[in-house]
Amino acid sequence: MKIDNYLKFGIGLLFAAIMLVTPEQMEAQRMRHGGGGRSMSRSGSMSRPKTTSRPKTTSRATTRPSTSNRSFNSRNTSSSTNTSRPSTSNRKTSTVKNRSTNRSSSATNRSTNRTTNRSTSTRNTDRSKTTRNVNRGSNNRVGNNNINIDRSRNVTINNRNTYVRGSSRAYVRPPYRYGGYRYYCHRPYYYHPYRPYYWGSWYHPWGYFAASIATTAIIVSIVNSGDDDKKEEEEYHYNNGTYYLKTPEGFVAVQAPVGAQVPDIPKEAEKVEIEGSDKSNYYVAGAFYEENEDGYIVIPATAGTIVPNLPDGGEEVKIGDQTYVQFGETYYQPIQVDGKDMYEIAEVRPAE
Amino acid sequence: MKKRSVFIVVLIFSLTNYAQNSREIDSIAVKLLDKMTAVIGELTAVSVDLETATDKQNDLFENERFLGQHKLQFSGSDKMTIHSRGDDGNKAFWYNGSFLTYYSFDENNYVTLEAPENTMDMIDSMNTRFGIKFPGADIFFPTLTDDILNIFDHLKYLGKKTVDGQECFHLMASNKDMTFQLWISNNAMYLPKKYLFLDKINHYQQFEGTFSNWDFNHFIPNAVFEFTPPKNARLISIMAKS
Repeated sequence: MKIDNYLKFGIGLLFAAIMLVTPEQMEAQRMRHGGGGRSMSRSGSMSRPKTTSRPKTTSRATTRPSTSNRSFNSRNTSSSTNTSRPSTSNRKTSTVKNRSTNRSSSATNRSTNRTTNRSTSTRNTDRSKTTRNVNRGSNNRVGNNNINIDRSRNVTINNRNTYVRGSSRAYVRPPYRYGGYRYYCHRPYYYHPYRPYYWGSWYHPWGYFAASIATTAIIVSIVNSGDDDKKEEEEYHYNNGTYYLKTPEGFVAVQAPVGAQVPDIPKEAEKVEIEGSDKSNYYVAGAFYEENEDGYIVIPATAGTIVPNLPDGGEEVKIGDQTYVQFGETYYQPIQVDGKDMYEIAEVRPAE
Repeated sequence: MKKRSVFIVVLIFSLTNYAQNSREIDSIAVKLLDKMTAVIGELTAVSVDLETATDKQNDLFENERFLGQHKLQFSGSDKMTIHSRGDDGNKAFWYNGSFLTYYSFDENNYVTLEAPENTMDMIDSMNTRFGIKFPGADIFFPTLTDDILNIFDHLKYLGKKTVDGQECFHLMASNKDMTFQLWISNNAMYLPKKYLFLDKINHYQQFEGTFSNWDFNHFIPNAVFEFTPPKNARLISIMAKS
């Protein structure tokens, strides 16, 4: 008898539960379907978080509104509009940069990168010694120095000399996020156009070719390069702040090789402070130096370092809504300090 | 008697839990969305103003609201311009069916990219590849209803409301991560008037936009969609998202 009562009560509750399901909900189950696989994230104002995977069901074909092929949101291109389109085949387009897979480069893996990057700085250099005209490729958009440099392809930055050491000071500002990476800086983004700085008559931008160099130039030794085989092949010369790589044709100005030991640096070198550190380094012509008992040694850039000027050879790159100046693996964020335009070296970390 | 009480409590709990997890889709809301997308799908050219308010996390890790005004113009299936100004910078997009140019008035630099031959495909492609944000773009996609039904668990018609003195149909869609509200004008055209996103997992940031000055099916010269670099403007590179 008692069991019978429970059974009746259970059936009653089940009926009540069925009644709770409205006709709309039942219809909803039929209307569930895949939305074409797109996300509602085309606008920043509409970006949606990742949703849990939902099983795709059949489309709501009977009620789907039709879209005219002439409509502005049609996905079939109207042929009539194409006929009047002006020819744009010669239009210059931006270079699309893909983040280097060597992003996580550190002292430990520099040697592995070295082999592939080693000769790039010389291979693409325009070595036409007969002309003194500016010889710039179609993609060149940087600098106005009247020198024989084809900047369209040359000055391939050797990434092993542009990797960034992490900042010792914790960042209190939220990073700028883009493409699965976080760009940390101590100071806020403040855009100003990239204008390569000219340090003086001694300064030669990367890619500058010379058949011969001054007799005062010295062959530099690379300390702790970790790549002795290649060191044998490459011969770096240093003359008053400029580093040259010896090639069969002559000498090409290159970025300062990390670990290069030199007796002195140009008087134009400035002391640069590293945010969050009591250490200060010297900076000139795009190279960072640390003083030691033998003179100065080229060190990698340290995140958080603020520099007043950048050399030729960088490239402005739009990363999301912000524009950075990129030298190989180093990203300089434009900032302003006491009303003066400067750059801070960003620390780029992959998002967890 | 005690066993019966426990049984009832368990059943009620189960039913409540079922009701919370189940999808609730209001057919009136679906019909309104379908009507709106059908009307938009018939438009061959559109010009509309959009005012946006976007929350972003600032240095204090607080939500800071950025206001913006945008002028959107579409023509055919392969022409688009958007001019934006506001707290987030002054910038513009030109799309002519072959190339998309993103120009920053503040920085006087631009990016020009080869683009798909269709506005909607271009928007999808550029957002996916470069994270370029096109204000209000989601609302114009012909699959808006499908997208909403695919993304959200609940969709409900909330009745008639007034926005900027205009009577609108108020819809709300939600899931555990996000709430989306849309106001559709109650007039012959059923055009979107206002939208609001609430991001529940990112500090409840809000993103809203209000449309005004709809002008449709008028002639827009092709030259409007061609970009001419201003003096000293620099063509720069762009970083792909991945």
